[in-house]
Amino acid sequence: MSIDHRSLIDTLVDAINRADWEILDRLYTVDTVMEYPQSGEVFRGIANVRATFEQYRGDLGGGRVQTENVISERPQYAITPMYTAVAVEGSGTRGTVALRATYPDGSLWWVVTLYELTGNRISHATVFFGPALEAAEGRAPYREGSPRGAATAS
Amino acid sequence: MASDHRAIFERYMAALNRRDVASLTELLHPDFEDFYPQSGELTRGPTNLLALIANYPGAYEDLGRDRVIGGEDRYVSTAMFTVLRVEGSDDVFTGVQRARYPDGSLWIILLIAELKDGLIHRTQSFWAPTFEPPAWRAQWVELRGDPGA
Repeated sequence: MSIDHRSLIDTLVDAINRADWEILDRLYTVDTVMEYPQSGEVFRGIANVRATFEQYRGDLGGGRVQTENVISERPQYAITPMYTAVAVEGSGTRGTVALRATYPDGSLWWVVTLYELTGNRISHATVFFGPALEAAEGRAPYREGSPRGAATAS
Repeated sequence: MASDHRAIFERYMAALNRRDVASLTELLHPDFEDFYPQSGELTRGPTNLLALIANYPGAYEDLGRDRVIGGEDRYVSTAMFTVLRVEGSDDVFTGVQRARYPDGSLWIILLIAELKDGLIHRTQSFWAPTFEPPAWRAQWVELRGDPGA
């Protein structure tokens, strides 16, 4: 069975951007595993994966944005993290997607996920988060483009 | 062809880690481009990549050593790269490496590479630092002992 990786990822990104968590049940297998190698975290099973997505907005820390015209006991968010798929590469049952995410605090991140499908659902995802970086001065003679500034590294 | 391409990509990753200019020269397409989305930097052409590698502020002859010279921090030992994973098929591959830098920080490096004519044509490179697992999601998560593995 040929799987349209781009369509699958577009559906997932759209669901996340709209906070439509019910769709996740159709995109992940029941026994899906999601790993964050940077922190050593492993989320096992769709219930845990979904709970993490659902609860994430409650912990935006400094990035939390509260609308001024919404009265509620719970914080409301004027904007959600906005994800844009910038690259999807996949064939057969494996693929890689790179997302660009703008968080409410204005920070820019790249989220790169290596995923594995069982049937037409994600059964394994390994997720990496990379911040925007300041272009290293030492590389200036060899590069093009308009480097953006942010944190430092590499 | 896919398996050949995989072998080419793995040779490329190994050559990068060894800073093996001769192998890189063989493996890079004349129209090679490497993009760093996180900083917006684009390295165009094999000559610029090789110059960048040659001028990286870490002397390869000091591989494994860990020291600081001069008044400012400089890497005199090469970042230690470990290839963790290679994924892909046909012409596009993703490589995952772990690197510990001389300052002790642990990063994961992702390399998405597109091959053309049996050579490395276009790559995107991402750097992801290790981080502490946040407490708020602890109830849904298991922890591995070795972040970055």
